[in-house]
Amino acid sequence: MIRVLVTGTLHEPPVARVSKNGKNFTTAKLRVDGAEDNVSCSLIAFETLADALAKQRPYAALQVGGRATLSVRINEAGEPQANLVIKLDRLTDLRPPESKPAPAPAKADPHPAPLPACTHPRWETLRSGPYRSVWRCLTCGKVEEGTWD
Amino acid sequence: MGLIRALVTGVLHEAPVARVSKNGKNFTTAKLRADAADGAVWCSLIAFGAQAEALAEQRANAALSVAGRVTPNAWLDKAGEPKAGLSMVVDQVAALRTRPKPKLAPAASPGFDDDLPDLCH
Repeated sequence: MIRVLVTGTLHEPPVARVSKNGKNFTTAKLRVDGAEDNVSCSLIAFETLADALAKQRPYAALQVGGRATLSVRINEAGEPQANLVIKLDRLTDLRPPESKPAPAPAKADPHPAPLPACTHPRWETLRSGPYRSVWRCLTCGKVEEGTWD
Repeated sequence: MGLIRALVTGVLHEAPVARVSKNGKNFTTAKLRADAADGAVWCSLIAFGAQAEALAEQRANAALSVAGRVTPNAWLDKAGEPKAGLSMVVDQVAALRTRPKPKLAPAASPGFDDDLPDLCH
């Protein structure tokens, strides 16, 4: 059994697919920049990891872990090239988290504080009742209401 | 720079070889065969320092788990078929078979050479 933990960059956009039995999975290519040669890894992810992988963009720096199998192919130059095929069970995005969204504006208070009392001396009464009265300042036009039981 | 770390579980193909580098440092090389669903994967191991000693203690066909930094490599075999394997610089060795416990020497019987008093009167 081979388990690997690989750090690298996505070579191309991940491809979200649907299997014959209707399950989602995602495939991608990860490039591991080594000192001697670039090694590419084929990634396959299922379920929630498939969604997480599908959201990644090309050149995203990732750390992935999972069970691996080793395959070999002949490249364009006619040379054999090894390829790791990794079934993901761990995915970490090395990109720093996005900045926190701006706080939502405060909702209007359903019970606003009463307006500061107008200090102008001249008022007119708009309504006068046993439980509720309304006045308007003749200088600034501010309307104030008073209620009582 | 990218990095591939692997944990490989398999069987030692042959006895590890303890060697000494030109500058006098010990290292050990070995070949591990990891069985996979689509065939065996060969892993060339090299270990230094304390891990070299731990690896050198193992015998052929020992079941091992080794961890370390790996490099995939590929080659053409004698028949021209492409083959792939792993090269690993080992930094952890775990033997899946426990070491046999050393047999304890039988405890020496204490000498009863003192004269017992004759209690049967």
